[in-house]
Amino acid sequence: MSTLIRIRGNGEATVYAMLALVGLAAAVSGAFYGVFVDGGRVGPGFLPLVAGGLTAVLCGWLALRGVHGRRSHPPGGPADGVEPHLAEDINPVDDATDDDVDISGRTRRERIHNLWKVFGLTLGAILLVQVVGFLAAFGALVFVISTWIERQPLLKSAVIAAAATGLIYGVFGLFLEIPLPGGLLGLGTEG
Amino acid sequence: MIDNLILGFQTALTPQNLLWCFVGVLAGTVIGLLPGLGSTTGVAVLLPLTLDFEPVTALIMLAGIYYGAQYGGTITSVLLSTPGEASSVVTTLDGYQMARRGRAGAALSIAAIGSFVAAIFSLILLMVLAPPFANFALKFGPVENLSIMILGLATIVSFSGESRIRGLAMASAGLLLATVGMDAATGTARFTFDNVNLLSGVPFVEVMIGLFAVGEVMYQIRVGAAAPIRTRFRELLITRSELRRSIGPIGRGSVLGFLLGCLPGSGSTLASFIAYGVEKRVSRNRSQLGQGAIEGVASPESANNAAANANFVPTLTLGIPGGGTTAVLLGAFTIYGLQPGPLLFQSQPKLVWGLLVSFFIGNVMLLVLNLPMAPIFAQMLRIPYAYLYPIILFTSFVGAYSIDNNMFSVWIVFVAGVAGYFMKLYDLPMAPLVLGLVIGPLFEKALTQTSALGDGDLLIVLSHPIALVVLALAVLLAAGPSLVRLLPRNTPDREREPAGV
Repeated sequence: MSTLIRIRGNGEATVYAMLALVGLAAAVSGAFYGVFVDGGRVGPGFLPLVAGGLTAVLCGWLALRGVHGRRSHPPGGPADGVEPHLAEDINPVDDATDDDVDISGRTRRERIHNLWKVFGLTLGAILLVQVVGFLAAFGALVFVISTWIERQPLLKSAVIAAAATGLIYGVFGLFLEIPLPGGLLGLGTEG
Repeated sequence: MIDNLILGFQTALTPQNLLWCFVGVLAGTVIGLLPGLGSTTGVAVLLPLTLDFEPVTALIMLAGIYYGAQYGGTITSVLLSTPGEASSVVTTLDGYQMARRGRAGAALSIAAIGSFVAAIFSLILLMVLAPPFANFALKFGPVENLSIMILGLATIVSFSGESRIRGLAMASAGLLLATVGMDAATGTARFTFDNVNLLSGVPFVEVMIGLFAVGEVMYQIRVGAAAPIRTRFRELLITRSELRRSIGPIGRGSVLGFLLGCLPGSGSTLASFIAYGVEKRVSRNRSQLGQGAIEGVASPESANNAAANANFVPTLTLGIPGGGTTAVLLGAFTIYGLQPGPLLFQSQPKLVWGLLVSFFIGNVMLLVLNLPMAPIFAQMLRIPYAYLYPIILFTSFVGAYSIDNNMFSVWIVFVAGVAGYFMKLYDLPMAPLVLGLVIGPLFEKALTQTSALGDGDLLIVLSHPIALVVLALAVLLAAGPSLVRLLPRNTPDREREPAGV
């Protein structure tokens, strides 16, 4: 199996490989911005070249180590700054399998599906801002997540979504006078 | 000093500042205890609320959120084994075991007491040491500033334990991200892709909201919710033996926390881990650590509070963030038109001393709030996350929008949220990225000025004694863990000790 295919099959290595590519592209671009200016002084391309180059080399090495060497951490690894052996005690999630059920009775696979649904819904809400306005779009997001994703009672979810929207409207729209976009429906605080 | 303190009390004790200090510490406690929210997120999301405030009032409230979250994070660590704050991660080891044995209240009490003692101790040192250090820092030029920023990066990278290379990779990625926008020296637009919004650089607060709020929420959805352990008022009483056992760890945690917190970029998480590591070596009850020993709660909780206050030493005196949250606070200073650094103590004495004195007041409020009311705060953990996280998302996006009244900010939050989720998932350290992003512009400015001073020769650094000492310290920090590993080890137990702890 080629290294490239192995990287694609390993999430962590893929992330590092992508970062390495970004770093490489930035380093190359940096060279075009001018690494040094008159008198050999540092130019606008110096830091992009150095930081991009360092990112490319280190992330490239980490990506390769991820597929050829031992894996540094399993997905859902320890939090920032957590030493690996301590993290084994702290994050029971690390070794989660599909049988791992949380307090609401969801398996790991269901939770990951939900995660992507929430990402999609959030993206949808942002895109809807120009159409229905900020408050309506995100108020609807709260309602849809509570009912569809989290399977909470319809009425309770509606009350919570309405209360959250009302609170945000009060604090940001009225108190702070933030001109929240109203979209085509005009349900905002602009103007 | 006395005059400054009087000025500080006059500023901090106005009804308005007292009220917002209380709001800040209360909000901080709540934010700290909710999984998926931390002090960095809290300060970033609530920063827009303070835009109409007087700068001193705004900073008092935002700082209140910061140290309030250190208290709140403990509650979640003890009752849920899920840290509400990164700095409380290590508290889960013994705190949760104590809770399972019916000693949750004692763990929360000693955490509150230890946090308070450490906070007061570190505040006294902060007040005594920060002004002379600021005076000393007035002598710093671009060369010294450059070396201090390198020290900051070395600190955060060197304490990433086994993930030092990942830390360095993320720090360089942060520096790279900071180069987006118009170059201050030449006016060259870099990586803007003809987008005018990017000319002023990647908006820092929005990135923070995305990484820490949205990314964390998404990660929590993946992790799933855990059932909290109940705690009652009567369980808050700690025994005389527990109190006696905690005195040493609180003292050691306070001193270590302050010393480590003074290092630029160190944050408070590092201090809690080091303090726990020290207890594992020196505590009389070290064999019980990890099984519900009160030392395992007292020491890291004291250390993280001491470090949280000490983080203000580099932030206020040098304008270099002590950690992730102080990085956001640094952004807040800029938004309010203030320039943190050695001149701040001279140009804004009312603000600086009002802020420092408010830490005292805020910590007293937190002790009063947390000792008797921990079980009430703990009830908040019973709010279903199913309702909580959509509201966190709503607040995050509206908060980001309100910074510049621009949908571009909202998109930045979304993109940073996706990035934050993957970083959390694959354990890419966020703190070095944040530090790189924050100090990037300052770093580049100092680098350009140093280069100009040396007519293109960056080795001019070697002719500046202060810079040389700081750089030597940075090299020691960066190479130290590797050198320590080369030392001979005596017992199998010692081999299990983590690097850097």
